[in-house]
Amino acid sequence: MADGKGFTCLMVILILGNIFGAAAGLALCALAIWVAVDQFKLYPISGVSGKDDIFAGAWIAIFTGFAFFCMCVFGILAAAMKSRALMLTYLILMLIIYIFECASCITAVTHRDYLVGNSNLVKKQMLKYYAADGDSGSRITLTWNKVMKEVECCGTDGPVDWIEYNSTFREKFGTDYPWPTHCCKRKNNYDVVNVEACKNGQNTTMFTKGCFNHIESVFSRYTWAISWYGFAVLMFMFLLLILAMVYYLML
Amino acid sequence: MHPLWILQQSTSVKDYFVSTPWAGPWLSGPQELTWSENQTRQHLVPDSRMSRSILVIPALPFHIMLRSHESHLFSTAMRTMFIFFGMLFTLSNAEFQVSLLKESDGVVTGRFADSLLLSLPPCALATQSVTLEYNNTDTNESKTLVNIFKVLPCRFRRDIISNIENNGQFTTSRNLGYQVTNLTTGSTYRLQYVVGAEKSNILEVSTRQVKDPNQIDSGLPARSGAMVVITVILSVSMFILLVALIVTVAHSLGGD
Repeated sequence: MADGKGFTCLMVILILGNIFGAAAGLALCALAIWVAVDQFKLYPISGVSGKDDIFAGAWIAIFTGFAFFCMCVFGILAAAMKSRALMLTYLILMLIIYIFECASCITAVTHRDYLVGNSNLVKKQMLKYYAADGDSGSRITLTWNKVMKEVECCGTDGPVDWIEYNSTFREKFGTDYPWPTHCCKRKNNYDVVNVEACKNGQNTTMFTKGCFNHIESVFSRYTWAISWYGFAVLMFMFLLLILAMVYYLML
Repeated sequence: MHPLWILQQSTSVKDYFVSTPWAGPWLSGPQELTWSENQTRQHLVPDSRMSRSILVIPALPFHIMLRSHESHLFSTAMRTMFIFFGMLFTLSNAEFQVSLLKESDGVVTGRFADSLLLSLPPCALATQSVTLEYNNTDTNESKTLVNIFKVLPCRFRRDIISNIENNGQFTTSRNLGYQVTNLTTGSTYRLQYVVGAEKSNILEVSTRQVKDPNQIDSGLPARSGAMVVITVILSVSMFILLVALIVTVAHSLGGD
């Protein structure tokens, strides 16, 4: 059973599959690094809420992606040398890495559902922590100021959130300013265009769309990178491992 | 031909108030009012929204003719209108409308927790000073703000300003409404303008009730389809692989 056309064919398939798997694993590592770097700087929103496993999944995927790369290179070696011991090592280690990568995908997508399934959690966090004292308060305040300025939005679903609910901001600063001045349009020198008009809510001097769409799209983008691409890599590795087990039985 | 009446003569000899025709199907376009004064003709084109307002036309003696651009049937018959005293025509009921400002008026909302944004009285009542009376229906206290502002005048040709333009040299602005402040949260109010002899309708509106943010339910809203698919498929594949590995190892050990 050790030699034969089918056997050679399987060996070639395994070697090619491992080459492709190495490339895929390395790409997973790179993508997970992109998520962990968080170019949109929205980590505090998930960090303060305790639902930050999108980023935990990214860190796991950095290591499992690189591990897949290394193991696939080892797998090429094991298949070419036709060694049972090496193939068994390959199979057991690949399974362990497979299980970790599964954990990363599942937890990333579950926490994304918690965070941005609807706007409630983000809204409650904004009302509670914006302008609050303490480390969480300052991180959330800085994040929201940045988002409101760059995305040109106000509040979670709209500026009405600030007047509909009580908030730390309202308790601290009273009702003179119904919403933070970051909701107001500014000139290039950072002066507010018209403070009084912004306080009254005139459409032309303030931002009237909500920020939740942007926040949701960013977290979804991160999650699809980790969980769906990780899922694709895992499906490929599943087939590869089944073939490797057949090859092992033929050795 | 549309009859015109002198509504009232003001104390100054030079001014007459003339009725304008109420809007009807034959008067869909802008109207033109012409009169001649000492052999010179004058005319003005009020915009179509002024069909219920009052125009002031200086000087006498005059011939008045109303010409509609839409229909030539009424246009060129030169008829001298004489003054019909005693036929006072009631132009409209003496009430004008007041309402809350809405998004279409250019604001985020008209209802705040402690203030309300009201629309302004119509410009026909220009330069008269405005009094606002309001009453809190829960506690039944009334308040009257006397002479809060003067009604802003109309302009004959009303330009539509859609932006506030400020290029550092000039600012154009428009007046949207009046803000009633120092109200209590979550109470219902009845508000009414009084301008001279005219009153507005009574607007019944409540300020926003401020809600507690701790009441927002921030638990898991629903599990998305993506989450279910990924979890199920990955869990099943993990299980299959584990079983397959155990079978493989057992088979290879048993086979030796």
